Amino acid sequence: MMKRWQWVVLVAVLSWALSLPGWAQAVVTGIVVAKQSGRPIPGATVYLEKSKRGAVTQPDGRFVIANVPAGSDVLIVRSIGYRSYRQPLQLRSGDTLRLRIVLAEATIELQKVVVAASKRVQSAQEVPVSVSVVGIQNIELRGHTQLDQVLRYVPGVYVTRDQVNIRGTSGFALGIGSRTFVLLDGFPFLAGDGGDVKFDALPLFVARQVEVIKGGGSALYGSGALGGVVNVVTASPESERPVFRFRLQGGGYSLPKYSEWQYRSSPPLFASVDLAYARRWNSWALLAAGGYDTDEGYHAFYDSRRYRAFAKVEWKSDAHQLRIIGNFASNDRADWVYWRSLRFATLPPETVDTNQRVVSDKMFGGIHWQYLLSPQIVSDLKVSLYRTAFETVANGEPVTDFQSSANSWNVEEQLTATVGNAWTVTGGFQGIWNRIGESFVGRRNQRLLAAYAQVEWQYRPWVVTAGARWDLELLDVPRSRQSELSPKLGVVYQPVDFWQWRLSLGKGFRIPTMGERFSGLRYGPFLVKENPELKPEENWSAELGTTYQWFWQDELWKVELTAFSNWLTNLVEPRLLEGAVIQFVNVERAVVRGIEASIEGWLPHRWLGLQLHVLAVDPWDLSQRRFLKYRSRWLLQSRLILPLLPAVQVEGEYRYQKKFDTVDEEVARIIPDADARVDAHVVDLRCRVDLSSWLPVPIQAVLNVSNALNYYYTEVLANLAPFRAISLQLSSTLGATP
Amino acid sequence: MKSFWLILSLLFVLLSCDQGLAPPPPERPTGIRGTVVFVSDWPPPDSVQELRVVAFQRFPFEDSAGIIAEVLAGRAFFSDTLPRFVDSATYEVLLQPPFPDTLRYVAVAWRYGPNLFGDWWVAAVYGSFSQDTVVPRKIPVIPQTVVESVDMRVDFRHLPPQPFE
Repeated sequence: MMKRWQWVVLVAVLSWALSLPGWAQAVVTGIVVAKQSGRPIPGATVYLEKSKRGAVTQPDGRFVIANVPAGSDVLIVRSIGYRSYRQPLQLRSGDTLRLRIVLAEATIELQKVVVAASKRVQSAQEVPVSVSVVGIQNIELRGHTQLDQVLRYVPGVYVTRDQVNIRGTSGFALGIGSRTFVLLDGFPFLAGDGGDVKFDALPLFVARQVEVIKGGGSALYGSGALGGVVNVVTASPESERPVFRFRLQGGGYSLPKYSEWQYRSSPPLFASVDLAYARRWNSWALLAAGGYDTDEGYHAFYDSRRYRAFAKVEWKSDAHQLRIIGNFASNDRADWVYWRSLRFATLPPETVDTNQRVVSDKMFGGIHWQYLLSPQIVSDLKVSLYRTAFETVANGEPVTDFQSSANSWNVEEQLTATVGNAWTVTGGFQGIWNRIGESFVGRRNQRLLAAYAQVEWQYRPWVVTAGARWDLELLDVPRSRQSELSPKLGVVYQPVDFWQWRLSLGKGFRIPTMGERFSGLRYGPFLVKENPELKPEENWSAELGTTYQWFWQDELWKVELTAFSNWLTNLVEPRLLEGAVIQFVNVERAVVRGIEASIEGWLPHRWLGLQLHVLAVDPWDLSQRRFLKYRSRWLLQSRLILPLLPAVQVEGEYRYQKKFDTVDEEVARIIPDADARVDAHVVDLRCRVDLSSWLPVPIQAVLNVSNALNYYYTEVLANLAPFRAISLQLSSTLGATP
Repeated sequence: MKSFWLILSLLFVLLSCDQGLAPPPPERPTGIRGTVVFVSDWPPPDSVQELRVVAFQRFPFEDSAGIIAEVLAGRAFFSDTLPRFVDSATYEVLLQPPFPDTLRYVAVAWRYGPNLFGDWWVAAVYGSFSQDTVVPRKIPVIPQTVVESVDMRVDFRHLPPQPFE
């Protein structure tokens, strides 16, 4: 029998021995960083597969897993938006293993941070509406230079010539007005006269991401955000060393297979060049870019030339952040809209003067001053001017009255306050002054004044958002005044980290643009007649959706299902009158209901990446009891990514869009074969090769074949969509942190 | 192996799709075709300036001005010039849209003098005629169809009654 003192000694010795770090247990510690930026990744899950021990990385990316049993184990690191990481470990007693774990960004973007949903930076998982984010990686890969090209690949979105259509909210309105509010770095970016989106003016080469908020956004953005919001977010220089980027792209369109459509003997060519420079100096940063592209066009007399320039200066201190943005784009293009006939679909009508061209300039300047009033309150002051101007010219001389210039001034002050741990309050005032000079709508002054507020309450697993915006429009000629109130409510329920439910309900509205009310515009053979009596269109939209993410053998998968409904009143749509005259009128009532479903992820061992999105919409005109015009009821977008070698990746994308059920039947009586339309089947193929292994500079080469089937279809009416285009793109970033 | 199946699937998708829109098939001609037989001797060369088959959608004519009005309004259709001093010649009159329902008067027009607008005689008519009256035979127009065997006989010694004075 042991005596009491012997027991005490034994316990003490054992306790001492077990407390020694080297006694049969080990420590795994280290830091998790992002491969591209080298920055620490907070919130990453680090765990050991066998011993079931783990940790979550701190804000500085560091972690410690103590008391790890000795022996072999497998370390697994996961973070949303990055490829998961596995590393076998052999741990000996007393070891302290220090690791630096580098996570590669996921090519298929699963988890994003967005700005546009609530006018502040937040995780997409906290947003009560559907959000799609297109990162710069995909923009570059597809070789896109215009925003409409990017939006054609966003789930649930299609573009009808000049109109962005999110979930069937928009039809085709001759390029006038937009039910999608477009922003550049949070600044409004719609033209003051036509209220339209100038796709070629947005600086995509320096974009970090394009955010697409689906569903009404009028409660924060006011008029125009009836169908959704698109925000182009430009990059911020991060490196203190100079970083140069360039992209060269060149290619050609296939000649049409039918002799009737062959208007030339050699394939039409296109080419573009973009350059950018970025650098940070302590608290200062500069991003400057410029580009040029030329396109001979895939129709006769369809060529264009574009110039663009962008500059952003940033200054940061502890409490202040100042951002100054300047952007310029110029476009010189041939001008015709509808074909001569289906037999001569690549030729303009004989009545078109092929010497005429449309020359347009778009200039933007904006200042964003962010000031930390206190640790809890942030002030954002934004002032911007967006000037758009165009004219029709022949041999450099104006030839018709079809011209316009408009200045759109914007001033906005926003306060965002964090109250306690659970509340975030956002409120602000905004004034927009559209000053229209000599133009197709006449001289006009339109003033929009607004006040908005939003409260967000976060109490895990709930996030509840409620808000409202009040807008007032003042017009000088004819003198008028109208106001709208747009409330919204959103709820996010996240029972577990990777599963989110969201519900939103909101009212939206859109004041008809000057173009829709006072247009004297000529569009192809049509003359747009004014209708000053147009009323604002309004909608109530509701959405119920769920997102679930899970790992399948260390690869993250996401499935998303959303049901939505949009009740619209006084919808503004074009209507053909007698004698090729079009007038915008209010359609009394309509409802757009639908379902959007998507699944995306990588198969085990990353041998194949998959994306599949389906949109089914029922766009119903309740007044005339038929489908709304220019709406597709089915949209399918899919993508396969096949990494063949470490430096070679091939991709295929397929897009199906059902043909419109109804269009303007009267138009078919004026334009030959205007009713010729088919479902769209568009296949894109591309191959990306990282030449860094073979060249002294990091160069990416991308061979792109868009519309690889050379499938002939129309996006709107009587105008063939682009033929097959084969292009080669070379791009490089020099001076970036490895 | 996986890549093989993937590429095979892609090829299947590519090959199974059609080409979408296409130009409409070329339209077949619409009109009449036949043979003109010259049964008499030809007049002196200086009085045969040209011969054409002409088809009118309206008949009868009020006067010669009415015929010219029909021509100017695009309601008359002509063949190419027929060969002269031969025993027979084939011809073709093609119509342009909008097509008439019926051709009511088809004839061989003979220009005997230098006046393009005045020096014309009708040398033959598709149908029947006597010394005083003419009964032209109507020809229904079938779009994208050329009516065959619209044959006529020309006897320069016995011309049909002229449609105008």
